[in-house]
Amino acid sequence: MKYRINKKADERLLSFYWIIMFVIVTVAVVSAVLIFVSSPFDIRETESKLLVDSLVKCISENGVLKENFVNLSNEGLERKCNLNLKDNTYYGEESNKQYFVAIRFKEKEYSSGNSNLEALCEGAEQKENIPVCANKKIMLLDSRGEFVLVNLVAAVRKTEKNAIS
Amino acid sequence: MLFHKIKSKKGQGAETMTWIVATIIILIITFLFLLATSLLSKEKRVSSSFGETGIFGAEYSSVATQQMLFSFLSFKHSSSGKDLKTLIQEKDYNLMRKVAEEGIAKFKEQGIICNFFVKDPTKGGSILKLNNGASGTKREVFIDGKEAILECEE
Repeated sequence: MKYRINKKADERLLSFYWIIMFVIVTVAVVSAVLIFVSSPFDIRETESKLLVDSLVKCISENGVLKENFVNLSNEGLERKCNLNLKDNTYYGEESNKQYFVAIRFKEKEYSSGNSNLEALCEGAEQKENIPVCANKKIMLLDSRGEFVLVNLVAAVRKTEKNAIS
Repeated sequence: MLFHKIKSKKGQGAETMTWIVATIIILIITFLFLLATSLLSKEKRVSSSFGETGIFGAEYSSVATQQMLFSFLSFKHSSSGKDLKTLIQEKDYNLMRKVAEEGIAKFKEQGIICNFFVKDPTKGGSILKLNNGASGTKREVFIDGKEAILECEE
């Protein structure tokens, strides 16, 4: 008789234990899903490479450097290459300071956006919460048929949106 | 009777220990699961190398190499005034090799390492093979049935 009472108590205790375990595991799974889903996707690397691609399309045609780039103003580069360097998400700092693009060849430079970002590009792999940059060197022909080295740089800041958690 | 009581108590103690250990293991696994999720969530990024087929389609990031291939094929020989494309069309393979080597050397001078190949798919062999060990973005174009391939390092 005594033994049967103890067994019932054991079963009740075990049920209670199972409920607690079930709650712990459920909370853990839900928390894990929330942690993973709520953290932002960092697409700045892709964004910077797409900006470089846009610059390539803008400055060259069939492998030849477009000569009408000479004497362009910085605003002209943005307009000429059909770029929109304004961050329309209004997340974090000023919307017009989130991007930087530059084209360099024959000691000429055409750039647009926040020029302070480029200085932060070096050693970007080792640091967090700094802009993501894409650099690309390409060889194009000029109007005389000579090869010209063109350096293309694109930097995307948007750290508040993508990196700082 | 007393023996049975002692035995029962001993059994209960062992069972309790088993459950305590099981609970600790479950809690540790749960903690590790949350830790791994937290670390993985920080690595959430969409990235792709130049030239790879990214989420935006096949054209993504291969534009630079494509333009370099076009410029390479338009590169003219200093004395004959013929570009690589014309030399491939005219099947002047000796001069084509000379011009291609000159072009690749000019790329190398500026720190851009590239391979250049011209293949004839109908014969299944290479007409020209300038391999500098570059592995990266590759673009190809067909000129009169011949395949010209430029592969450059990032």
